[in-house]
Amino acid sequence: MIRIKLLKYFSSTINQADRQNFNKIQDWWSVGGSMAPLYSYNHLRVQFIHEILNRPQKGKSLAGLHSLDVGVGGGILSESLRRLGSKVTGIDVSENSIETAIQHKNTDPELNDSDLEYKLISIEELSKNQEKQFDIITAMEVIEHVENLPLFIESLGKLLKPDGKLFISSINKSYESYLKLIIGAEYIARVVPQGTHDWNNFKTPEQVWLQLNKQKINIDVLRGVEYNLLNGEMKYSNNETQYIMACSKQKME
Amino acid sequence: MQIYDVCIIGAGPVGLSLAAALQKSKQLNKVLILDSIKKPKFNKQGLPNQRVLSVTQSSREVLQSVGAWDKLEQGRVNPYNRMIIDESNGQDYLEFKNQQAHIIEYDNIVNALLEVYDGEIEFESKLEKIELKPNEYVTVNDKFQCKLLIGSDGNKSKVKECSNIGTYGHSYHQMGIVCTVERTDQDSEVAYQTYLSNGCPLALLPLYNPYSSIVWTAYMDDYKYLMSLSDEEFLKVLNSQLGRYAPRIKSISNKRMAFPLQSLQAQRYIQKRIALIGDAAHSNHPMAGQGMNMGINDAALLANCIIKNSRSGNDIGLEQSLEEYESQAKLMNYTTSIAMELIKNTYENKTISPLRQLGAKIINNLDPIKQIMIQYGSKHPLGPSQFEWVK
Ligand SMILES: Cc1cc2nc3c(=O)[nH]c(=O)nc-3n(C[C@H](O)[C@H](O)[C@H](O)COP(=O)(O)OP(=O)(O)OC[C@H]3O[C@@H](n4cnc5c(N)ncnc54)[C@H](O)[C@@H]3O)c2cc1C
Repeated sequence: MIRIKLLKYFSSTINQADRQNFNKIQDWWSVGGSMAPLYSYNHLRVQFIHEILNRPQKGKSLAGLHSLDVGVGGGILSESLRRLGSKVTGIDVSENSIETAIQHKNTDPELNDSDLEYKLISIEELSKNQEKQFDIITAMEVIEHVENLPLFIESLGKLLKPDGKLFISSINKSYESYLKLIIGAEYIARVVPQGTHDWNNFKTPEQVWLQLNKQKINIDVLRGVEYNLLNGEMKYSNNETQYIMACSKQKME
Repeated sequence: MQIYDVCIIGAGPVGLSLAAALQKSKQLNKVLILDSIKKPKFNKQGLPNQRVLSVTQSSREVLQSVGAWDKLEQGRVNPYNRMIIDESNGQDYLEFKNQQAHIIEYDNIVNALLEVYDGEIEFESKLEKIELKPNEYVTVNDKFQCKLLIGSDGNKSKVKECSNIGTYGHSYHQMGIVCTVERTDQDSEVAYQTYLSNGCPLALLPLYNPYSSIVWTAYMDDYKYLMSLSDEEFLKVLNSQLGRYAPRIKSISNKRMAFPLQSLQAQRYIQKRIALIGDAAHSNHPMAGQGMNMGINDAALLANCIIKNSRSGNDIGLEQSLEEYESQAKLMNYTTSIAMELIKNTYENKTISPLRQLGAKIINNLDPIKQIMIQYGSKHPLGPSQFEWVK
C-alpha cells in the first residue's frame, strides 16, 4: 500500500535503482558481512554526535532527546541512539531495510518498546504528515542514494527543531572517490557489495552546503573520514573523500 | 527475572581483572560474578601458597590501572630481574636481564582484586546451566539473565561446554608439580630454569626471602614417583636435579600440588552473548609462566571492547561487538603459544642430539625467539595500547 503511494508521488527523493539494490542486501547484521565496515563506522559517528552535542559519552548520554534517523538501513545507528537514551524514529524507503531493522530490534529485549519505531516512508512524506520536530536528525550515508537533493534537504529542515542538530555523512563526488569506493571498495577489496554506489549521484559538500543554505541551515563542522583497510576502523582524515558534517538552523534575529 | 549487563563466571585473577576494569569504567549498570568456591581468605602472615604466578610488566599495568596493584601485600610481591636457563646435559646457559617481572602468590592477587571490586559477587554459587533462546538474553541457572556471559572459569570451563564451543589441542602427558621451598641463600632476584636430561624444565621462582616456588614438569611415571616421596626424600632429589647455578634448598615448606599440562585452544573465543577469557579460552605449558598473563591480556582486550561498544550504544552481546576482542586476543595468544612450542621442542629434541646440545646456542642466536622470551617479562607489543576504563 505504502509502496504504491510512494511510487505515485511525483517529485520524489527516492532513487528507484538504489532502492532495488538495498532491497537485495541480506547481510546488514552478519559478522564479517559486506556491511561490517558500517558497524565499525558507528563508533566514530556516535562519538561525533556526542562531541557536537557537547555531552560526555557515558551511560544514557542522549536521554531526553528525540532523534530521527533517515535511511536506517539495518538499524545500526537507530539502535545505538535508542540504547543511549534517545527516543528514536527510523525511516527508510526500502521494505527490506525496514523489515531487517524491525527483526533485529527484536533480538534485544531492551529495545522492545515504542521508543524505537521504524517506518517505511520517505522524508518528504514524513515532513508533510508530522507536525513534531526532532532534536537530532541523522542522514548517514544516505544523500548519495537520493534523487532531488533540494527536496530532501527542505524536508529535513522542516523536521528539525530550531535548536536541533542535523548530521549528514556521505561520499564526495571526486575522482578519488571513484577510485576508492567504486573501484577499490566495491571491485577490488569487495568490502562493499557491487552496485551499492552510483558515482553520478554522489554529492560534493559544496552541493550540500548550497541546499542547506537555501533552507537557512549552517554547516558547523565538516570533517573528512577514512576507512582503514588494515584494522577495519574509521578515523578522521584530512581527506574529504568521505565526509561527515554537523549542521544547525540559522538563528532568526 | 533479574537482568545483568555482564555476568562473569569464575573469580580467578582473570575474571576479577575484567570485573574491576568494567566497574572502574562506570559504563555498565549491573555486573555479577559467580564462583563455586568459598570466599577465599588470604593469610598475610601465613606460609607462602603453592600456587604462584609470574606477573609481567603488561599484567602489572592492568592491575595498576584498576587499583589492585597497591592492594597487594607488598612484602610478598617479589621483583626479579634475571632468569638463568641451563641444561643438565649441556655447557651453555642463557641469561635474560631486566625482565621486570614479579612473582606473586595466586591468593595475593585474587585478594587484592577482591578488595577493589565492590560490585555484586556470589561465592559458593556454581554455574550449572545456561539457555540462549532467539530474541532473549542468556538465562543462567534458570535464575537470572545477562546480555553477555563471560567464561573465566578455568580450563574445565562450564561456559565453554554449555555453549558447545569446541577445543583443539593436546595433553603433554605431563604434570606440573608445584610447592614452596626455603632457599639457603637470600638472593631473591634471580629465577632459574633447568632443562633436565629428559627435556623437562624444572623452575625455581624466587618468592620473598627466603622462599622460592618450584614448578617441576614431569612425565607421568616421574610424577607418581615424585609425589610419593617424603619431604626429606623429595628435598634430596630436588637438590640433585637443580642446575649448576641455582642455590641449594634447605627445606620444603608445604604440600606438593600438581596440575595436568596441556596445550588447549578454544575454537572460538566468542559466540552470540558469550565470551571466553583466560584458561577457559586457552591453556599452555607453564614453562614460561604465561598462563595468567595471557589471561589478563584477554581481560584487558575484552574490557576495552565491551566499554567501547557500550559507549557507542551497541549491543555488547552481539558477535559484531565481540569480534574485535577475539581477533586481537587470538593473534596474541597464538604467537605466544607457537613461540613456546618452538622453545619447548628445541629443548626436548631427542633425536637430533647435536642440535639439542646446541640448544641454548641456537636460541641465543635466534633473535626473534629471544625477543619473545624477553617480552615474557616485559611489555607485550600485541597488548592493548590503551585502557578504555581509565579515560
Ligand atoms: C596448582 C596450580 C599451579 C599453577 N601454577 C602455575 C605457575 O606456577 N605459573 C603459571 O603461569 N600458571 C600456573 N598455573 C596456571 C594458572 O593458575 C592459570 O593459568 C591462571 O590461574 C588462569 O586464571 P583464570 O582466572 O583464567 O582461571 P582460574 O584461576 O582457574 O580460575 C577459575 C575460577 O573459576 C571457578 N569456576 C570453575 N568452574 C566454575 C563453575 N561451573 N561455576 C562457578 N565457578 C567456577 C573456579 O572456582 C576458579 O575460581 C597453575 C595452576 C594450578 C591449578
